[in-house]
Amino acid sequence: MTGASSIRSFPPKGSISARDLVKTFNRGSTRALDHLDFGAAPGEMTAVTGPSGSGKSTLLYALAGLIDLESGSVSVSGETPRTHAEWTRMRQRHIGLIFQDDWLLPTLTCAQNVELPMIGLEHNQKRRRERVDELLKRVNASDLADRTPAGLSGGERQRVAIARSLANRPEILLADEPTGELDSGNSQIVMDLLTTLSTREKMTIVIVTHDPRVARACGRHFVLCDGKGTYSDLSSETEAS
Amino acid sequence: MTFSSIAYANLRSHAVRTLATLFSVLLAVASFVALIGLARGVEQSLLSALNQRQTDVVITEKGAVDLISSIVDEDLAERIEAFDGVSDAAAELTRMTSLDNGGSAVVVAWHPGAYPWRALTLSQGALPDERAGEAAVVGEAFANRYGLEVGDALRLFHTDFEILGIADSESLLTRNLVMLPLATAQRLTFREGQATAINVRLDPALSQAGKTAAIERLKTGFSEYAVEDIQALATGHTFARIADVLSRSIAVVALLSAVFAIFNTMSTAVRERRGEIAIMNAVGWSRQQIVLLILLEAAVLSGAGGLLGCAAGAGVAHAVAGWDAVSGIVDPAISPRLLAEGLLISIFMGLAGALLPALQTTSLSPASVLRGK
Repeated sequence: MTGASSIRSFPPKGSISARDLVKTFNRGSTRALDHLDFGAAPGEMTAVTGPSGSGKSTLLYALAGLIDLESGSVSVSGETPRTHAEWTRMRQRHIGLIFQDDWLLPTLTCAQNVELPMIGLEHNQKRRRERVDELLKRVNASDLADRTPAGLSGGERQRVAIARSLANRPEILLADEPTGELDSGNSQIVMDLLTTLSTREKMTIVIVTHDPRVARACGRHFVLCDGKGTYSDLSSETEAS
Repeated sequence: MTFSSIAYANLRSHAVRTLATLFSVLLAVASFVALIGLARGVEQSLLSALNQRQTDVVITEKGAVDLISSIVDEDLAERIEAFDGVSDAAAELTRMTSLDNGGSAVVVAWHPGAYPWRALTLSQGALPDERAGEAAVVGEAFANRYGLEVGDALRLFHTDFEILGIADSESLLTRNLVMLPLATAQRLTFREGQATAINVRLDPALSQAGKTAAIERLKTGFSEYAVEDIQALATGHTFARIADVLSRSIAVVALLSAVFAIFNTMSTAVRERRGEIAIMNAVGWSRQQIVLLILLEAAVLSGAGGLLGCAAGAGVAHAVAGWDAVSGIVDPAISPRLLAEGLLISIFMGLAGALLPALQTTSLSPASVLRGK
């Protein structure tokens, strides 16, 4: 493990950094994030690993502004949102989110699910529809456009969820166990998609994972334990494992 | 895809629950429209009949519960007619009686030659004169309902009456009346010398202010009686007030039930969809947008229920008005304004019932919901 500082100097667009994050649960008895620092440069693909309960998902939700912190701040593309409204705007424009459970809305078709984040941002329905077609084609799910999520396989659903996360052209993608419920074949498809986004489109990607294969696909590795985190050298860890 | 298409998709996905709630709203709005329409119909029927008779003021016994139970001396009409500003005054006896065929009739009686007789338009026959005994004029709707024609016999108060004429009128109440000579009606109902009211026609040459002043003078001059202009009488007499209070009370209970039904439906719906709502927030929907979507669903649901409820309420009111017991007395007043009120109330109920669940759900942390599954 290296002791590299997590706070580095990044160009603003596409960077995400967190400083001195503190988050407790159970009325303060469980410290999920303990004065944690984190940073990812534009285009970087970072794996966040650690044992269960180490605070991995909490970190991801903190980076997305989905939880209230006791202290600390998160900067996204050079901005530091504070209020719920500022975070909502940030997620709408700069951050794409992928979850272990795809959380597709069952009452909408796959195309409508992908279109969902664009409501309120892109008012031209034709342009929205073109963007949806483009995204579904990109994740190889064009044939699923008019189907509802109910009849889809886990891999198909996750591909649609990835398309949804890209709807508003975010610079940053945060993924919480995106392959957690997929078989190895579908896991590979999803990781290929994410790797392509990082390498070709310079998208900043942070992936919370238990899967060493997913972690190995990432350029950087952030290990969490008891709410504290450090960067590790992937090659040495791979050898050790 | 729009807000409304998302709302529609959500409602359609739980068709049974949506239909059950829609039915609750339908029932509540139908109750409101039917009850209020019938209550207002009672007022309008009376007002229309009095207008048709060219009556401006009605004088009854002070404290009488309703028009039928009022007792005044028929000679009062002469004293009133001599009053400044009064053109005509007519003693009137009103009774409700059952018919041999099981139906009922509203019977009014005036002295032959009194101005309410003169205000009648006959489609057939003639008016009774001073010598008429057991003679009657019936309204056209009453004649049609019982298949009566001029010259036929009508049995009332255990006595056969000859139908002398058939009266047409714009007033539903008048079209359903049986009209008799006062003396005959008094004799057969043991009310000799008595009337239930004195109908007063003010001098038509008076201005509105002159009429108002004349009414005030009548009130002062006959302070031992209830002196009311016809508008006040139609809305203020005990029967109308009871009908109004009862109908409003029942309508309020029905409407509150519907608010609870919508609250229950929307609470269940948003609880089931907490994850979906959290993901909407996670992908950039603001709290306001999500609340708006939930309120839109409730408004669509309650608006649809309200529209159907207005139609159902109008149908029920007309069906009730056709029942023998009230036929010819009540003409449901289902005005566009009442229907608009019903629709607006239903939408307001929807919004009121959905607001709390919407605010509660959107105040939850998305992370706690998404991780809690």
